[in-house]
Amino acid sequence: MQDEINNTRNAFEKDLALVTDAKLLENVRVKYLGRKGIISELMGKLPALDSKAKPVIGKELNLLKGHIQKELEKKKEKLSLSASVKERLVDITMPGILPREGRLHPITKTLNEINDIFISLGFKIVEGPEIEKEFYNFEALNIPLDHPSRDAFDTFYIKEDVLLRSHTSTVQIRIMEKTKPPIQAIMPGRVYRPDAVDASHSFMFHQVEGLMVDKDIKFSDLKGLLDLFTKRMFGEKTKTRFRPSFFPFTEPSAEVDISCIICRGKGCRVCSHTGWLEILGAGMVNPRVFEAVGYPSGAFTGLAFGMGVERIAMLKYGIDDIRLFFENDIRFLKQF
Amino acid sequence: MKVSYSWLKDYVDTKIDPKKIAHLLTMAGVNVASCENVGGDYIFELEITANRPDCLSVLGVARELAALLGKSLKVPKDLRDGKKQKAQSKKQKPSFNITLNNPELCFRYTARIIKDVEVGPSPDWLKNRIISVGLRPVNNIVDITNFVLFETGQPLHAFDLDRIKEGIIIRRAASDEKIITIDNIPRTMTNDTLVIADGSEPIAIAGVMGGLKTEVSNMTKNILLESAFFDPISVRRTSRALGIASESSYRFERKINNGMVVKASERACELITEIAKGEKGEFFDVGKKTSYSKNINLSIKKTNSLLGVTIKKNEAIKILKALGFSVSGKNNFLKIAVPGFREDVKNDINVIEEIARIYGYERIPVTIPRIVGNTTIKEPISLFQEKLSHALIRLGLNEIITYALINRNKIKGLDVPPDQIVAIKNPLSIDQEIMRPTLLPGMLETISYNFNRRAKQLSLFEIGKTYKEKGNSYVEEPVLSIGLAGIKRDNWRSHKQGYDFFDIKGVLEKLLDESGLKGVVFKKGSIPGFNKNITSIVEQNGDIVGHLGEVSKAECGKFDIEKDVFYAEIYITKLFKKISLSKKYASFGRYPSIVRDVSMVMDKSVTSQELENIIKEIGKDLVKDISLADCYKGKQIPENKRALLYRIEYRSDEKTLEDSEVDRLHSDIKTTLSEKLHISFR
Repeated sequence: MQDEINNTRNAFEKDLALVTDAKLLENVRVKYLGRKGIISELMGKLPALDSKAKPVIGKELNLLKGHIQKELEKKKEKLSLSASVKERLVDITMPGILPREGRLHPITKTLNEINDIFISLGFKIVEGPEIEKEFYNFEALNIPLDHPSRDAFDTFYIKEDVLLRSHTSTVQIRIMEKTKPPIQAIMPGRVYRPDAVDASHSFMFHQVEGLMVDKDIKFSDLKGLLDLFTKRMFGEKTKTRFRPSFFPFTEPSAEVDISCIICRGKGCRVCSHTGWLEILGAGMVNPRVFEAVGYPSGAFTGLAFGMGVERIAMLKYGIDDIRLFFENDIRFLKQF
Repeated sequence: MKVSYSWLKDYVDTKIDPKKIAHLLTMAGVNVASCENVGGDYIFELEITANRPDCLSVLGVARELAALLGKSLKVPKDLRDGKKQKAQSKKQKPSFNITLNNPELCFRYTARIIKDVEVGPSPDWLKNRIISVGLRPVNNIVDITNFVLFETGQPLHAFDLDRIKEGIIIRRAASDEKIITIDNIPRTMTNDTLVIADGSEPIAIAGVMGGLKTEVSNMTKNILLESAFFDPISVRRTSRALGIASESSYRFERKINNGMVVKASERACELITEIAKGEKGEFFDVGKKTSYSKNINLSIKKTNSLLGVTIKKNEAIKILKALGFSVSGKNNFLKIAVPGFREDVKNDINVIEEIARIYGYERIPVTIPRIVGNTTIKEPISLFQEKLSHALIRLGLNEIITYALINRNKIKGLDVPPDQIVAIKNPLSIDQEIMRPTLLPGMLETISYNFNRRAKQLSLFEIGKTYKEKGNSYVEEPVLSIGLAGIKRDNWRSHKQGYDFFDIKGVLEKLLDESGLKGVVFKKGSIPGFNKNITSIVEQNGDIVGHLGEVSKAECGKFDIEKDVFYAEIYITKLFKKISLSKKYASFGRYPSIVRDVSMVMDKSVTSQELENIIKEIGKDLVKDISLADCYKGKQIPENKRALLYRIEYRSDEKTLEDSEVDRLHSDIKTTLSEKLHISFR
């Protein structure tokens, strides 16, 4: 009898080890603890034992029964645990659900960046109308009618003397008409020129104009200011180069180049192998402009500059076609 | 303009590397766009600014170079100053008549007769010079006039003298008068065109192009060499009107130097007698003889303080003299006489630029200007616009920027009053005919563009101006446009549900809430271009601040959009006048609130707004919040009805509400709803 008990224990251990799910577990339970199970069968043999062995074997059997019950319970718990784990199985390598987010247009971003640099230098932002009187676009800026200097400013007209401004320099005049120096302002905005559209031309684009007028503004201030701006905009290592040029509303005038941000001045396709990129027009305010706005002669000096926002954004982001800005392809917009 | 290295060296002694010369010129404002080795010589491609016609000549560029190198300029003897031109003052009767009818358009006209020329090919040196500036050699006479034009900047023209009938008249063309120019194209002129005519017809368009009839050919024996000074504006207008841009018109437009008119003629005459073996004949000179001159006083102190440098007086004098200015002066003032070829120099600022240019911009130090304290940095409305765009990107919308000029057809059907439309007089294409009165076309264009490129989810906004003519003025108004189209989400978990009206309404509600605007009403409305059943006008205090809705199928069809588009436009200026951007803390109440649901069945014609108004009216300030929790139109609900589940939050600011109080109020609300709107409860 004792042997049978031991064999049963061993057999149970083996059976239990093979259990992998609830169904098999139930089979094992029925086999050992069921009404016609092994334990029950062994219990049935008890009355036939002698009175000395009966209590000993009986105790053994009860212990075995308890053991089996406990083991089955443990196994059951284990199985149910693993079952629930299986239910919650998540493939965590699947892509996350991205929260929706929008982006500002790269022109707006670039404009904001330019504005912020100048704001940090004490400039204020002033805007002006896009539909302008001819006077503000030309005469007040010392660009006479029928003069070749107008060639650079082909213009859309609405009426005889009403046009779409071809540069933001118009706002210089509007500020000075209303304000006494000192003036320290930038004037961002849209401008229009009847240019055929291609990869580098657009009939509508954005400019930022800058103006400082005070008692003692110097050309060296213009250099310092724009050098600081370009370093903040394009990186500390950016170099600037001032070349004499001609704008009717500034004298002396300069074109401002920066060392090519692509090749760092070594020469590449973007800078036409010169190592330099032209990004700003600048100069000292022409006294004739002060005259046009009615400032007393000789009382003030000023510096002015202007830049194309698309050009700067194209350089900064490596965009090679200006039309991308106005096509608004969502695949483009989402990159900035 | 093209200039060759070897030609420059005729006037400046230098052995400096051409690349270095290119750099020096560029850094002095004579921009060298390229410098290329062509057959052993170097060709500089120059970009001359509009103020420097003197540099539209090899001699002018050489003068700049000489000044930069500290060398002297070697001027050919015929072109030197001080050489008196023998005026044609012999008592004999002139063989030829020159009549200047319009001295306001032709300031000076000179002509030289040269007889018995041998027209033929030019010598090689001359051909090479002509080729180096990008022209094609023609014959010795024409080549010489071109050579002198490039050398001096003074345009010249040679006529076949024997083909001129009865002298020369400089006059306005009759209207519709015709001429065939040397390029063999018939041209029709107007009364504004100045022509050189003989007794019977025009033989040249003054300053622009000669006529075919009097062209110098191999048969030509005697020539008339013209050297004149035409009005820049007249030449510019004629050149633009006829669409002819020539080397001559380019220079006349920018104004030539009257001091060179006779000298250039003399120089060409000498070359013609030498190369084409002609015989120098009579010379005629009609009109103004004086050339530009100007005396300017320059303060060295002002120069230095404007530039932020310390340039010594002697250095300034040296620079100016090298550029051809005469300088005298004492102490810190210079008396400067401007030469005739520098009419661009009119005042001391111009002189200061000359000094700075040659001194070198790169030698000017770098300083930081005195910063002024601005009390306002941005206009409040600009700040508000920024706030709106930041709210919108937070809500997941992408900003777009579209053209402000559009095709007129794009607003057909939007009922914009024609007298409000701002039209462009000179558009390049029909796509730039008018300025947009609404941002809708730009939005639809963008949506169409993206759908055509397989975009599925589009949520876009633009903040831009609209343009309208009102009376005699123009109104530019900032407007916000929002467009939602396609499916709401495009990811592996959800990709079916499309946008609907309540999505765009929600965006607006959020924005208006951010703006701190209270009492906004969305009224049912009708807007051209929108689906009339799904259109709403946004009102506050009786003022319209925007509109929204589903864009009509017809409108979408114009842009080839098949999917639904939901669009809103907010008039920023109007909205801005009403908002308050300052935030104030609102207490969320010390006493607990009680929430009651009310499930209602009502006619479809009853609006949510009406119902909420009643709840507010009855509930007074005890109703703190009303929210729509559910909406169903299922099998249990009759066809013409709908069921709404509202959640009402009751709270008092003074005490803890008793259940019984809320029950009474809630039941009053239900009674009124049922009486006034025939609502039943479930």
